[in-house]
Amino acid sequence: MSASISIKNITKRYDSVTVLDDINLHIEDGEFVVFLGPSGCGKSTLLRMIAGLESITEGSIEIGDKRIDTLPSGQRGVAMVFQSYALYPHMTTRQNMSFGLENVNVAQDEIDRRVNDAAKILEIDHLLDRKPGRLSGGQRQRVAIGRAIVKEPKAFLFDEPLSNLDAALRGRTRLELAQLHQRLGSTMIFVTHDQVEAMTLADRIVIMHKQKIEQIGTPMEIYQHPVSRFVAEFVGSPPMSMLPINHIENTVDGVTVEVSGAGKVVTAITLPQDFNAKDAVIGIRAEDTAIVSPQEEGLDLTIKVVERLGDRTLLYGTLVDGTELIAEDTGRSKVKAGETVRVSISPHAAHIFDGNGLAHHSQREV
Amino acid sequence: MKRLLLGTTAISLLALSPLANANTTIELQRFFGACEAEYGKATDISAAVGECGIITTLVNKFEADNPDIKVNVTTVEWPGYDQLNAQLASRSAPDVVSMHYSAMSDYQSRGLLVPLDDVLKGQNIKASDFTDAAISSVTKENKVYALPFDNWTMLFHVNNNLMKKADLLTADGKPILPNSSDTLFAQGEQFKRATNKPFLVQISANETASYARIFYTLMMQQDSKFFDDPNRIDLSGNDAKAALTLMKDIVDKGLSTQDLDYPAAVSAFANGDGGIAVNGTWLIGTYDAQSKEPNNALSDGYSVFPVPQFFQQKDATYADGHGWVVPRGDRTDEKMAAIGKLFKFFYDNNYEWSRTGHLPTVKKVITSEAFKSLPHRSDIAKVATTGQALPAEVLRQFAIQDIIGEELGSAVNSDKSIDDALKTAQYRVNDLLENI
Amino acid sequence: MKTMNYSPEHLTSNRHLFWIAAVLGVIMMAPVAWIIGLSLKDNAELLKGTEAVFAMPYTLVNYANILESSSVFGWFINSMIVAIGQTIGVLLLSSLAGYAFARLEFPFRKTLFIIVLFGLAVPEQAVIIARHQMFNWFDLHNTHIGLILPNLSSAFGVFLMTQFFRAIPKEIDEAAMLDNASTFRIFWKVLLPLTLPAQATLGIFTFLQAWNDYWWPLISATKADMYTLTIGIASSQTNFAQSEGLGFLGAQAVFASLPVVIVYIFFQRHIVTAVSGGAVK
Repeated sequence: MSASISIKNITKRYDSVTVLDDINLHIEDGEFVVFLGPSGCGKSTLLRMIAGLESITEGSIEIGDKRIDTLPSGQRGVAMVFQSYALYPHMTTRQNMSFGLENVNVAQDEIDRRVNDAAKILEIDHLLDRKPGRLSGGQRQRVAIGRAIVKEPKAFLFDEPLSNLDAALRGRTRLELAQLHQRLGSTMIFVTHDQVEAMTLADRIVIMHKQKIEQIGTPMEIYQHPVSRFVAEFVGSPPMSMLPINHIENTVDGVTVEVSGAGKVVTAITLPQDFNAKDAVIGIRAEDTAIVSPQEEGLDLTIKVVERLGDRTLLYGTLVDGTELIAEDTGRSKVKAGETVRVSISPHAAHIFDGNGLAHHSQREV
Repeated sequence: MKRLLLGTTAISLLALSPLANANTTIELQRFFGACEAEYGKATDISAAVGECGIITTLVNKFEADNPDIKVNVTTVEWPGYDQLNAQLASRSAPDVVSMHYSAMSDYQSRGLLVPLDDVLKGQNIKASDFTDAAISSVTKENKVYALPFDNWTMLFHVNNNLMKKADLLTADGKPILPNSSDTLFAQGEQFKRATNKPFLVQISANETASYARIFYTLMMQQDSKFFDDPNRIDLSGNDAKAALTLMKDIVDKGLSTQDLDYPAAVSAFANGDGGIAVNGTWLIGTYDAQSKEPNNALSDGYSVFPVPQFFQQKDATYADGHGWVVPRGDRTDEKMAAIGKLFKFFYDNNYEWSRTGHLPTVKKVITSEAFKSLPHRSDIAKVATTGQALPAEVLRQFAIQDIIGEELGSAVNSDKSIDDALKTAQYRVNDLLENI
Repeated sequence: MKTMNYSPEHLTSNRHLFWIAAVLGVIMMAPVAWIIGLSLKDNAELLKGTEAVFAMPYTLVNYANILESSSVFGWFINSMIVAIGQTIGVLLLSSLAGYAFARLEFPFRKTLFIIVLFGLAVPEQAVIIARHQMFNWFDLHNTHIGLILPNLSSAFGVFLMTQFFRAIPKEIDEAAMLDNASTFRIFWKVLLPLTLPAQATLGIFTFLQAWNDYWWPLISATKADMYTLTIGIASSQTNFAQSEGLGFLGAQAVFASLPVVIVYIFFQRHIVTAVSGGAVK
């Protein structure tokens, strides 16, 4: 039933504008892959090309061993859940779910069985005779998913399906989607610009940027070893602080960099000979910082904003030369805005990005 | 069984030889309305009342008398010329159509009407059998293009009861009517003082035709040659000014009702709101019937006369009328013969039609005892000789009537000066005629 | 969708609005009441003065006279055939054209749409003679088809339906495409049902327009048995109906407007929506 998906050399152009540029991606059978990227990066277009809603300028798409980019949408064996759900407003939940099956002449008792099963899984069996107008946003979402499930597709395609839900519902539905994936074991592709959804749901995340795939990897790979400054800044909340590097000094364990306003920072990163130092920065995640006593070694950070998240506290501040840095303290932090605190940085956790945005990480695991 | 057999034989005969079917159908198109509910099957002509009732019964009776001729009647909304134009354009015009004399020139000049001289001759009807007013209106280029059916004109419908109150009755109970503009104003004043009501009841709202008709009458009484050239109207003379001045003075001196539309004017007179209704022949029957009922404004006090002669030059009154025309088309001799029969029947029954209030067109009807004994008819019979139409060659008479009525109306209501109104009317009419 | 509150408390809470609406309502209803009053009076009585409307006796004789005319039912049927035929035709063609303009890609689509919109600006007067001639060539005068055909090309209908189809989210089509529905099935089963409010609007307007149409039937249906009700009723008026047959005239007007009233009663909700412009919910 479920199948792998191979995207080969896909390019999409509208007249002179290139939307996707030579995309290659293989998705394993049963894998949950999230396309993550800012708006306009082409992630939705790629998904819609798999669904057959956008034409392909160059390249091919295979599901299983079968090339499908030449087939009409309905015959590709994929099911899609739209951002707006796109339920048929004049049909009841049951009719919405059975419509696709009727179109391929599935026997009525089989339709009933699948609809009832899916409704039970999604806990919408009491809503089967209602029309979408009388359903809440969350319920519509479930019906949309149900409409996909009954088709028993080779792959599920989700186009930002959670973005129309409120925060609480979004969190719950995310969890349910993860459970659904476990239960069905189907190939799923999920498009989002929300990194939390990507991190929590994906087996692998595909980061897209400027018509290309920037990085493919598991959530932890993406988070800990972003291949580029773009990925590092895009993934993670709060975003990674970037401090300009003035001077680099090689040591045995790695490089020591001189950061304006912070002085020397010792890292465990080894840089190549041809490192492009122009506009290079050092990236530090908030959780890789710590507030230490003024006697200890570290940087002086003047706090502008204190964000208390309960389990931890985020401190937004500036270094002596005005460079911005986000540091983290414990949930019980007593720091107030306007104070100056001393911040220490974990040497192994820093990332260095060269002038081209290419990332260099510590060789040792943190 | 026998009947069935006969029927079957008849049908098979018909099927075998369609030529054996001698039936002729005449497509007759007319206004005058529909009154099937009351007269759908009636054939007793003398019992019928009103335009619709009489014409419907006439056709029924003709069909009954001539079983081989069927008359298929199509009624059209008055005056029906849009429909006729469309039919002529699609070459599906009916065989016989009712038409105002004043509209005929538009069709005749374009060769859309069939001359009827031969048809009438075939039925032994001569032009001299008709009144001058009638036959002159339907004769164009020395050919007769319609069977004249009636003449109608504006009349003075008089409330004798109010006239008596104003001391305007003769000893034998006849109203004293004005015979000049001076007497009109004098009597009007006298009437107003005695009754506190306007002397004349005129139609002055929503409809401008009556302005034009009265104006034509006043022009004709001055023997004006305002359409000497049928392609140009001439309203620049003193005659036009005199006519319009009279019309305006009547209103300015408070001798006329104001702001009444047609229905209001009709009922205003019926209610005794004025002495003399200036209105058409068709109301005679209605008012006469009312006068025979007790306890109303007209009880035992109604009479009717032609519009008096206000100018000395000529005793004339503008008259139009209804005729029956045959539009251009392919017709068999058989059908033309049937049409001739129908026209003869209409001709023979001209008296019956005159019971509508319209004046008969057949001389011997006018002089007949039967006609004279119809109420008030002897008083208005002279219209058959004094009645006068616009020159037969004048085209677009309906449109001209609208323009003139509109312009004169604005002068009478003091929206324009008299000179201005006449000038504009002349310009607009000539513009219309030049651009045909 | 905004819900209307028709409760008396709500209406009276805005007194000014209430009184303005009430006055406007009376002004609009007065001619209707007047014509109904006239239709219930004897013609002879009205001739003497229309104030008779306000006093007894009343009579149904005018209505009886209408019904006794054998032609009236034929005209009524003709009007029905023409109005219903036109309505169905306009709905069908406008829907198909609207769908095509809103959803399908084909050469000269924008140009064609603009040409269609030009149709909104072309008055019937400008084309009626040519049309009459054409129908004459094809021998279509005095036929139901001849009465129905000219108004099937409804620029307004195409425009309305195009706008309506455009307002439907494209994702609905896409969902149906993924549900393996054919283009026609998407049109017929998915999108068309969603245009029901627009269909109702267009249908009502078309029906009313067809029912009230006068000019084209006047010159196309010149045979009495092909008359529509408007033409038939006008043709059966006597020359002086406005004075001598006022009651009958009133009865004719009331009779002719009955189907319109019935349509209004049945489709009231849609008409209100249509007129208030909130067709898309």
